[in-house]
Amino acid sequence: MIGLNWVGAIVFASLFAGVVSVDRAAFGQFQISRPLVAAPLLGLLMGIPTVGVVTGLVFELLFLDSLPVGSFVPFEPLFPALLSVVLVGTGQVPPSALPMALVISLPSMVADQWAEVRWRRSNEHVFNRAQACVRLGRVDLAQIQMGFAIFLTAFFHFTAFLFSCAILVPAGRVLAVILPDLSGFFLVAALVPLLTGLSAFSRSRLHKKEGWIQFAAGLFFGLLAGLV
Amino acid sequence: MRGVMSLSFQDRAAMFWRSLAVQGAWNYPRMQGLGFLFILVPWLRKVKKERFEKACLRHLGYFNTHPFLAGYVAGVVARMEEEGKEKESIRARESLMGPLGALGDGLFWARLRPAAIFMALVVSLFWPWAGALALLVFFNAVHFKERWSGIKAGYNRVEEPIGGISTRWRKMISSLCERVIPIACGFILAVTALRSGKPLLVLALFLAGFLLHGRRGGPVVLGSLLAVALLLGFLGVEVKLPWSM
Repeated sequence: MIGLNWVGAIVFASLFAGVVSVDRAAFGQFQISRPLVAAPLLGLLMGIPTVGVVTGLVFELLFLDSLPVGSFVPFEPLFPALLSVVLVGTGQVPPSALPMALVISLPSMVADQWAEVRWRRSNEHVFNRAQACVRLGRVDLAQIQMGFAIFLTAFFHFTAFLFSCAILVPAGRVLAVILPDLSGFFLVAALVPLLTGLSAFSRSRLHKKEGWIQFAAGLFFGLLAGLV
Repeated sequence: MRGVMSLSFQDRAAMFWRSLAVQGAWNYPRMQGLGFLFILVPWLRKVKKERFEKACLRHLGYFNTHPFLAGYVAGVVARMEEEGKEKESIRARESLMGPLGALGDGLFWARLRPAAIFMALVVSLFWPWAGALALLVFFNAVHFKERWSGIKAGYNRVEEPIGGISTRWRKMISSLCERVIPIACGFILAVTALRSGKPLLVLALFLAGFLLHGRRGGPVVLGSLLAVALLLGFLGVEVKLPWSM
């Protein structure tokens, strides 16, 4: 992303977060909002594709089993994944300290959850207005309310991401200056999300003989692929 | 009474397109109520004509199901409205949303999505860039199929709509995902262990996580493994990440 200073890059990333958030609940659910997809895409746009891919993989694994069932709004990995890319992409944190950026960006999950809940509450008014329109025989106006609700998703998430950046980007800059290079220190830790996700899913699936056989088959083919 | 053929390709395409926005105005009191009406509007305008507004009000109530399966309910309701079964259409909507919601959560969120993510992770071990694309393809192939065929299936199963919930296709997808996950887990573990340069350490951490998951929740396991990993990092242990970039 040539030609933008770090403030411009943050605003651009916030717009990106707002647009991508629409996919999660309001329209489509094509999984573009999963970190595995969104983080590499933002990384590519900001000129740090590798950072985007690694960030996406780590956060995807960390939140593999968070399910959006019913009215429950779980912590989602989208904001931390995008914020980590922003921290490195704007030069606040050096690429070698990416694991630190991943940790710093975690509190942005709270802002994401706030935006989601706020959007759902604001939709109560949207629904009431749409109902009034239908009662008056103006179904077309009710449909416009639907479009407005989808726009609100993007708006709330844009605002929440911008707010997260306003707090966490300076925090990342300060920590990157005062802390020594900890990339080696965090290296084993970078494997932990992967192993936690794998062990959680293995545990839930390996209660039958059939599951163990499938797991063993996967291990065998993995060994073959790894050795080749 | 009009026949099955009256749901044209254009009608179905309009319902499909609108079903993508079924959660667009999700709210706590009525959940997907406005979204469900949004799917039906073009159809109701076509079949109801002078009683269009009343039909719209009828379907602007509480509605909540799995978003990918809302098309099935819309198909059933569309056919009933077409046949003038107005009270039955409300009953059908109310009775179908619960079972479809439970089925969808189990099938799409608990099985399909993790399976698609695990397959994408396997792909990303060899081509990191293709991981995102693999996730989109694996997941959306089933997603689009369900949304598109659900409308027609609901429209055709108006006599016994509840019988159309558990299909052979859904059972097959569910069983396939159940098989894919352990295979992918084993595969990723083996490749990670080999590429890390410290295979025994990786296997030990995995085993610790596996045993802990039986007794403690996810955050405790993550915290414990992270503490051990940071301690190892402090002691100067170095590993390589499995993704070659």
